[in-house]
Amino acid sequence: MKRLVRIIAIVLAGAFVASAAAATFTYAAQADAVGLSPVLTNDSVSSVPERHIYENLVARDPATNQLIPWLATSWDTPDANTWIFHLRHGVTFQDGTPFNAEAVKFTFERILDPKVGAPRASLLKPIKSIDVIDDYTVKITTSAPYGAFLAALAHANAAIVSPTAVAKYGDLMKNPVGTGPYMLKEWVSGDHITLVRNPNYWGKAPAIDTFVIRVVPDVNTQVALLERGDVQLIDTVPPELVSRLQQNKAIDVVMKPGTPVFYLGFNYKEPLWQDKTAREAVASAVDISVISKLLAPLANPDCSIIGPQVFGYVEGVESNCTPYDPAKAKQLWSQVKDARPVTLWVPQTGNYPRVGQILQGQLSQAGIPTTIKTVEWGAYLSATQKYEQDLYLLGWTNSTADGSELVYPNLDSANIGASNRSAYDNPAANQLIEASRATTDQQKRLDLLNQANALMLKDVAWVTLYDGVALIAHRADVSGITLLPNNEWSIANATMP
Amino acid sequence: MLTYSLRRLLEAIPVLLGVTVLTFLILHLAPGDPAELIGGPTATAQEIASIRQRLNLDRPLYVQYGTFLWDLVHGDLGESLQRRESVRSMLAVRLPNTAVLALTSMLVTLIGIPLGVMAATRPNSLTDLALMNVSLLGVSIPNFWLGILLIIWFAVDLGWFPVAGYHHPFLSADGLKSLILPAVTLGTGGMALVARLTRSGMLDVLGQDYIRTARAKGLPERAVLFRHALRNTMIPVITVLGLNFGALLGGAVVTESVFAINGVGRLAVDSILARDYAVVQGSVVLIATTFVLVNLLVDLSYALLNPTIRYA
Repeated sequence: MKRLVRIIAIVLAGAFVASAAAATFTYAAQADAVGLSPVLTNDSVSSVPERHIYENLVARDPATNQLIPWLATSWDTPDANTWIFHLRHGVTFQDGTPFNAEAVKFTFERILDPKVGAPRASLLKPIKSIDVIDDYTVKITTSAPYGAFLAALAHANAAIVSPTAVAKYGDLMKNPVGTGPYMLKEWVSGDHITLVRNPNYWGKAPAIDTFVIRVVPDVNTQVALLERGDVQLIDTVPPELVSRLQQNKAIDVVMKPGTPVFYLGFNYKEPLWQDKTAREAVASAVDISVISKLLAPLANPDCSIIGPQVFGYVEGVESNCTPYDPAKAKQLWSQVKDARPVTLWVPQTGNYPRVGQILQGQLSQAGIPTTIKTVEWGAYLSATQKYEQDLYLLGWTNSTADGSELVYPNLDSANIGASNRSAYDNPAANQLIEASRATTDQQKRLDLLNQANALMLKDVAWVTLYDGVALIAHRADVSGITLLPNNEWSIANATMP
Repeated sequence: MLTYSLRRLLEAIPVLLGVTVLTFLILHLAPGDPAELIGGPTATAQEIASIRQRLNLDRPLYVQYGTFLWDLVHGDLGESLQRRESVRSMLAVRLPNTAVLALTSMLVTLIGIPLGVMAATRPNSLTDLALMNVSLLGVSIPNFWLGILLIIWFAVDLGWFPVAGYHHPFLSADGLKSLILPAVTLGTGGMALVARLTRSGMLDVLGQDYIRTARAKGLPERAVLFRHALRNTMIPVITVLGLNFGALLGGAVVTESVFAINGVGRLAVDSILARDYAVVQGSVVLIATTFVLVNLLVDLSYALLNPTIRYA
């Protein structure tokens, strides 16, 4: 009898181990990844597998969103332009190449090489030189003090790649090799990507063996797959479906106030928007609470340019916003010298068309005749960079969660003709923004960014409408998934039955 | 017939060449730039310039078109700008899925023929009225809505079929199950259209003298209906089926998206949105070639249906 019990126990234990070993976690993504090279991609879908395959010198703590040492265990800054990183020992890439100072130098020089055409080369642009001190020490010299350097190093596009793999494959778009907990097993273009556990991972081995990223373009189909348990996680839920998922006991909906900011911009090349009275009239006509109600629970009403989840925000800055006052909007618009009917440019993607319709109604009610022009995303990016728009809607994800990396690209005159799509040029703001980048004293940076934020709010540089909410919906029997305010999530520490 | 087929195939060459020129021009004239989309809203002017250089988009347009054409005649469809993957392999992965979707939905569409015959043989009866109203509904229901309804009823609530995606191999229980909902979604509109066309064609033919003659010489009703009436009704129906099949092979974007099928249509649309010129051009060449071939087959089938039609 005892023997029989032992055999049953062994069989059951074996079955348990087998099922645990075979744990497959499937995520339904709206599109296929563009590629798996962090140097060459800049889309949110690619960043999901990339974040599991590669790692950075610095990471974000999911609990606090603070920067923490990762592949670099510590760093010194002997002067404002010099960073010395001490690297983690005993780390190897998935192809067996040792992770060392040469790999860091190789990766960053590759990102900065104009011939490579890295879409986020600007993250590391202030770097002047990279010197290998020894195998585990690397010295980075910047041309000027770079306040947001650590935040930039934590960005998905600054992940460290295997130099041997790049030499072998040319680029890593289809052959990713990093130091992360997962590695590529299979990629069927347009259908799915399968990652498996990296057996030589330096850190705690992930509990989930296989991670499948399956392409499911339709959100309704994604929801049906999650409800049936065919996939374990989705992260593109339209606001109207959130409560349906919340009512399902087999599903956990996790939400966090996010870093993305959405705004109504002015084209400063148009004489009308150079007139502050016109901008104030528009800002007074907009009731942001209505928009957040429409998009609830995926939007938090916010009028600040630098939102609460982004470094540079100081509570109370909202007192500089223009309050909602339609009567005042009407009165201000009547004083505008060049007043004319306005066109609101709206990209045909996400929630923008719905937000556009509300704004059209609010502006028209305040006596500002408004027509909507809806434009396909690719054409929209192109047109807004050429300043063909009038009023326009856009957002910024704030992946680095650092205010400098929001206000510098979007509102500093150095970026007119590229990412400063409103052509906003305010010398006082430029000075504060550039000073916030050019110091590594974080308290000073916070103060400078807060001043820049307040100044631009008073100037009505743009009208902030809401902050995004980071959301994932996953099967309730999976635990330990981490979510950051910039919508990035990880299953490295997750477990499932 | 062979000479005719060869002539038609040769005639297809300038058609395909025209298609490539038009696609190339439209893509480059349309607003939007692949480098800007790869860089995203965050890209600086310098970053966009270096991406353009990496993708050879800074070369003159005639050089870009010349390179594409030279590669095409050598059987090379180029490389995706966005994904750095061979366009031929991207299409090769997707074409079997699209072909299976087209064939299975065509089977559903063909059900429209017996339904149309049934309605025509009982004009203005309750059966006729019911069939024609149902077919009107079939033509009117948008695919995305029908697809989602079928998923909710038959996949989520009843659990009879998978929610989405194809299971390989197709010739297995799971594989066949995964074909049904997409085929019904995509084939319903065609089935309804074919039913209405068959009905009206049959009603017209059944009033002809030769049908009266056939009946007068004592042929059984089944032979009258299927050998004489239906055969003469089929020419417009085959034309519509051929065009429909060509369109299906070109991709059924909505159905492919709702059921997460990795097909040619979705690839073409995604590539247009990403301004991935090489993939759009490769997809259009494939779709245009399919159309030309299907049209040729349809034309040749006329001779089989009506022996008075001769090709020279």
